Amino acid sequence: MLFEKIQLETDEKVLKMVRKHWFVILAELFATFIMLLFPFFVIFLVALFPDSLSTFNISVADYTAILAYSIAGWSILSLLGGFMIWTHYYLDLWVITDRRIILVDQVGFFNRNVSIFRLERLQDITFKINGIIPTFLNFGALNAQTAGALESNFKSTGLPDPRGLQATIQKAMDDRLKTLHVNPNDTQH
Amino acid sequence: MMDVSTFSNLGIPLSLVTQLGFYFVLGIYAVFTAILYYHWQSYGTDAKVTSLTYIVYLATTVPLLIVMGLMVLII
Repeated sequence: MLFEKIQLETDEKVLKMVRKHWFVILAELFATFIMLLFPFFVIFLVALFPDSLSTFNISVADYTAILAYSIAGWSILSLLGGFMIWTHYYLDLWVITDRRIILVDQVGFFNRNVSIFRLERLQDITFKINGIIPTFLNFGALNAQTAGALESNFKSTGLPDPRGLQATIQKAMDDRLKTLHVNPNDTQH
Repeated sequence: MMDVSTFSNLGIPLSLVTQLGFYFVLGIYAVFTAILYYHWQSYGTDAKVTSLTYIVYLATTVPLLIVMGLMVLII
């Protein structure tokens, strides 16, 4: 499992785990749903205009087995696409701890980025909610800048309640800085 | 009526085409299943969600594969 790989530090507490908003996965899975329905839509059209088949001297009854075979094959491939979308959605993750932000970005099956940002290095966090649906459903993008030289920005879109997330990170950051101020040697932990 | 026993005008039996198609889908399915299993085992965060994903995956895809296999036998 993931946490065995990340290896949290001693006494490190997970404050929040965030995945993309449910609307993001729903919109993506809708395409799979349409793909699944496509052969049935074609059959429906054929049934609606039975005379068009008789022009070609074709009878659907002769093709039942081939139709079932094709629909099954098409459905399997569509479902594989759906499960790929689900895997990308579920394994894409933000883990906010009292010390770090761990970003797991599952871009593809063979493309996975894991970034770790220490809270004391964070400088600025901004969020953006853009559009009618994101406004009503309260999801958007979160941008953060760190004090590092390269790769100092990170951005994630489609996150639920970005305002609340920003507040959580800001609070965790403040708490972390307070802890470090009291005990400066704590940067290693 | 059109002759459905041969594929196109090439003279390839339809049963062979469907059989090859079935093996092709079966190959893709096997590789995809292995990749899916690896990802969920390695990067999953919740054992319940992982198990549920496996169950739904198998429950939706295996019957379709069986239907495909049966149709290959019929055709």
